[in-house]
Amino acid sequence: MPADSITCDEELMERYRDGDAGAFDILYGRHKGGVYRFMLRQCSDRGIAEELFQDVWMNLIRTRTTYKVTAKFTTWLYRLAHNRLIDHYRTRAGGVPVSFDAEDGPVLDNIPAARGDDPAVSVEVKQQAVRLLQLLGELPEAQREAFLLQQESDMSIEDIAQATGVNRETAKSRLRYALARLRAGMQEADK
Amino acid sequence: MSETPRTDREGDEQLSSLYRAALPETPPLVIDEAIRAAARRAVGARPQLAGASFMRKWQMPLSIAAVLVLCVSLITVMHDEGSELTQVPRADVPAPVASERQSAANESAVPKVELAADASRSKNLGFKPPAVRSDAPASGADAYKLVPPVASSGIRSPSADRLQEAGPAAAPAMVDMPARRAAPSAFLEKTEVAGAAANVARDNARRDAAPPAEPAPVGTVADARGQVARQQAATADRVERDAGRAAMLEAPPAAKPAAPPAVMRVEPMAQAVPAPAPVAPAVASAIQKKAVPAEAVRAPEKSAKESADALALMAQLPPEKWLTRIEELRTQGRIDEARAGLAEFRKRYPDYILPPALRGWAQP
Repeated sequence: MPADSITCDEELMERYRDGDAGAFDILYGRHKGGVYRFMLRQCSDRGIAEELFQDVWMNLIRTRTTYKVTAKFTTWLYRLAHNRLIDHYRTRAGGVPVSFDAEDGPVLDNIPAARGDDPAVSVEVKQQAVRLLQLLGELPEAQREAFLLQQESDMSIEDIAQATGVNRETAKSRLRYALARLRAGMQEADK
Repeated sequence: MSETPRTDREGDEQLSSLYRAALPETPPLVIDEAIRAAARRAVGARPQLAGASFMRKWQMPLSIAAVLVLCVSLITVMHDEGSELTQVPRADVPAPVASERQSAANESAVPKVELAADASRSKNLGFKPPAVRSDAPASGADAYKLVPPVASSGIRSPSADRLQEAGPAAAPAMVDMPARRAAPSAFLEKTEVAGAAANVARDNARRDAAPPAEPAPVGTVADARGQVARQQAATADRVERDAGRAAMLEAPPAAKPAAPPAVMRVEPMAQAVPAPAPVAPAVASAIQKKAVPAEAVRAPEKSAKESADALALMAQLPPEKWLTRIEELRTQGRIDEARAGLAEFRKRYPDYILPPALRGWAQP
């Protein structure tokens, strides 16, 4: 059966595991952007991000023979990316960021509500997007990771928890904390 | 902490849209290629060439189209050649002189019909290219007999001779044999051999037959021998026809330049061989019953066929072996066959230096 856009990621990965190089091309085309941006947002250095990105896919290629469909492919893929990122943190001077170890603080109940109005001008949207990326860079790594996993691979809280190796509540609190910080930062920018 | 409906997804549409509005950064192409190549290497797949998908997509249709074009071309070429082969030469249109070789090949492949002038010509075993006689009869509806060609002197090209001598009047006398024209050279070689064999057989038959000038006496064995001789001639003609057919089947489209062709002239038998003397049917049947046993009839026919076969076999040999074979025949006492073979050899290889023994023996 020809690999096409309808074929799910898990089936493509199984076909690649069985020797179909074309299946890998499709998988890579689908997820290379998400993984790359995930690494790029987590690292300030683009070169390091590219190196980590390449390592993630090489690791996928090496471990293809052990792949089994026990979860979503994206969960497995971003688990590889998360592990590579932690390894990177461990090798640098600062070590693994505290946000990955410490329990998150109390979930903010006073998260500002999302604005219902759409941006009228695309220039304004671009400016807001740049601001959002700045706020994202200021987030603790763990919360940023949770937000990126949700945005880049459309993961649920359970998927995020599985990919990052934490329980559901931790993943949920990280995500909510990240959203609250980002909304607050965007509101301040509007003022 | 209570989970609101919003917390299940925990998505913020506004933040998501803003995030997606940022520049969609992608990895550099170099990294892309490196990763894809590593993936292919890991599974032992060959690198994907540029345009490979295009070739994969169009490989089958292009192959089918190419095969169809090839088939149509072949059919067209075969059809054109077939129509050429089946084209009957018109009597009022002389053969084109555009290509001398082509004309010569065509002409030499077509047997000519010619009146037999005298019986002595029948003993001529010459296979030099004959001159096409312009006095050939226009109508050949009578019984025909094959007459060996007239030996031409000189080393001129046979096609040149024919081109000079052949006229439009000769065309109606031609017997069209389209397949022979398809592969003239190869066909001529075969026909020449077969014609030589047939001539030997025919010669034997005519020697055995009663001389035309001397009507056979009624009630003698000579009459019966005449009948036997005619049977031999018919057999020889059949052998030649079969050999010609085989040559047509075997001849390749482009053969090497041919040896001088063997063109048979056919003339109405009524003029060449006088009809046997009228014999009362009862007497004739009595003579046949009494004087000609079946073995006696079949023996000369068999020997003629054998000699024709032997000559045909010799003609296929290289010159040295051919001469050796002639020597053998001579020592075996098969003088007629040896002479016929030598005559044929000299026609085929006129410049070949014969060994001393044969040189002296070959002088008439």
